[in-house]
Amino acid sequence: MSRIDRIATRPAPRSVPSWAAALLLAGVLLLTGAPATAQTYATADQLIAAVDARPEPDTLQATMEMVLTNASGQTLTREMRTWARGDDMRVMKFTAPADIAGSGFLMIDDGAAQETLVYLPALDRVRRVAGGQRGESFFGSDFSYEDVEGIDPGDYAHELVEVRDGPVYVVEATPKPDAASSYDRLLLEVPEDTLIPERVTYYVDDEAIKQLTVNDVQEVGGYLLGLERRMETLSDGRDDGSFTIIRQRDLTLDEDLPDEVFSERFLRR
Amino acid sequence: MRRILLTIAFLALSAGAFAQLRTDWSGRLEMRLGLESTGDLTAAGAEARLALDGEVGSEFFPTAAFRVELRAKTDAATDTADVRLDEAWARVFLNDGVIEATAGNQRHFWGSTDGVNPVDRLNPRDLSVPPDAEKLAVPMLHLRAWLEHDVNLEAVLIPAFVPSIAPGEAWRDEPTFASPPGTTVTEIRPLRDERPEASLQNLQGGVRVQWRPAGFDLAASYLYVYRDVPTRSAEAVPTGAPGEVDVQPVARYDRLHVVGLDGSVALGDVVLRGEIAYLFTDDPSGTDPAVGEPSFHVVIGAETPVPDGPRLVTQVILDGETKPAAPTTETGELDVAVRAMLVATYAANARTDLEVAWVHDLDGSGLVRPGASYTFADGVTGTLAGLVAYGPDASRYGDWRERTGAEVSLRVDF
Repeated sequence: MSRIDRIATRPAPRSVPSWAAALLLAGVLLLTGAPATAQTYATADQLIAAVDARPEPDTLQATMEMVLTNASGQTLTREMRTWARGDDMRVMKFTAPADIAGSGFLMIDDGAAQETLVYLPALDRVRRVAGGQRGESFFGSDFSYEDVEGIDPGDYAHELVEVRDGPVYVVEATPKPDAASSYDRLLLEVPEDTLIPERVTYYVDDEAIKQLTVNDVQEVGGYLLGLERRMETLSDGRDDGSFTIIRQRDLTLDEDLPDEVFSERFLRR
Repeated sequence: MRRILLTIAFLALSAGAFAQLRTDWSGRLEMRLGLESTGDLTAAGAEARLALDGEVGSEFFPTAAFRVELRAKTDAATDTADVRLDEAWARVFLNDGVIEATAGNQRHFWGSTDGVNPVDRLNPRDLSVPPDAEKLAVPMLHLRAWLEHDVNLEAVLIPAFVPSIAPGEAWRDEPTFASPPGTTVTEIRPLRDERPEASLQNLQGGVRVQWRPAGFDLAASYLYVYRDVPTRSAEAVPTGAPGEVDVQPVARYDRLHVVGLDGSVALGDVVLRGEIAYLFTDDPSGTDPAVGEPSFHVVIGAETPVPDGPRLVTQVILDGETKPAAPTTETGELDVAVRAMLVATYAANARTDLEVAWVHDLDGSGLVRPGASYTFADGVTGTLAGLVAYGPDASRYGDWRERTGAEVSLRVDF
């Protein structure tokens, strides 16, 4: 299953039958610039299937700049390089600033279980990250490990809440009982013309704690991608009002990546 | 080796001539000020590091890499100044990176648990201001092979013995000496340090094989090394005058065989980690007072995050040692010490990290180390750390009570 809000926008098994029609429609609307007013999807499941079915590159390499801004407006900047294959293999390595350069993490989801390994060069050690730690802050940012790894639509039950002008679908996603999610529910806002969830609000105990906004949606290499992601902490009692922006650049899509890239060997290199 | 590394560094400087050579300079400046509860300064100094890293080859797996790091340090509190080559190694990748061979000053870490790693005796440590114990990079040859089925194999050869930097006088236990009956001590001679010379028979080394399939990892290791902290004794040396002896303190470094097993497993929200090591010497009966006794060490720990709270690491540490055999018995008595450790780390926000580590020994002594760090800007970090020691005299940590104090530092990484 694909993840609908991952940093590198990568939805979808291509086998879902509705993707071609959805893409065609989205493409036509993008090309003509005509405002979309008709509602194509009658249910949340239809919409999510279409979102999940958007075409995706088989592999992705990118440089990501992460800017952390606190409530006072002070910023910290981190830069990393990422490599991904499909939805289930991802490596990230920090290149700046100097005190965390070389740190990285590897995420592999073999279907049965998800494994996340973190490499800290100061300790020269690869450490396993437990499931519950997926909810922790990703290297001090407003993103959590879970946010970075992405959300599997199969882990959520979806309900169409509202259709706004555009049309923009508002869908509530509630984690299924066996899903390992830090959130009680998500509210996704999905414009029909891009089928990219361009705003996601994360709730815990009925309180909106974080909000993700996807900006700079562009076509790159034949794929529609959101190149900037902004995660704002609304209210988690930790650093309310802070936000983190991740921008992607230097993208290379669909280039073969050796299996060894997704290994401890590459993580340590 | 030093000549090879300098040559590599020179080549790196002319990087433009080599299209595939990538180099990267980095460094650190750090200032520290430490104060004990007694009013004594424990640190009042600065340290500078400058490192050059380089790679030759493709983006994913290079054909060669190197690192050279210089460190300069001065400290008015301990009246020390030091400039040294720290990590300085060259590495070649063979068979598309399946085999890595590294030669030079290196620092490696074995084991799975946090802070206490009984299976790891690879590098000596700087014990000058305990409980800090930073590893020292020493000359070694390190081989790593990434084999099939998620197995990786490491082999290490250490050609020359380098001992740990001994604790300063304030924290050193001097050996007790009972003068023979009817004699008087006339002089205590300077310490005789019997460190092993660099020779073929004094080579040190070890192997480690780790299996890391999905979900867990398990490693077995063996090391044949010298104990990097000496076994200290004192001998009576007749002076020639009747009834008079000199005391000759001696520091000896005995051979150690270290057999280890370590691993970790993720079980839902918890990661379990463990290590077990058995150390034995070439004096298994324990009759030679200059040779340490066989011992075993077990560390079992769990790491778990508290929702919206800190990340907790709890560990239980068992240290068992066979006391020297009594004259009437063949084997000694087993003495087991038990410690518990709790570490809580919490990222209060993107800039502020809090940590507290607590170690408590069942002998009633312990250490508490709270700390907070704040990132002022990219690469600029300030840290405030404390140390509280408690316990009765002659207990594991009780003798460090006077070390209770605090330290502030400012670090700039570039």
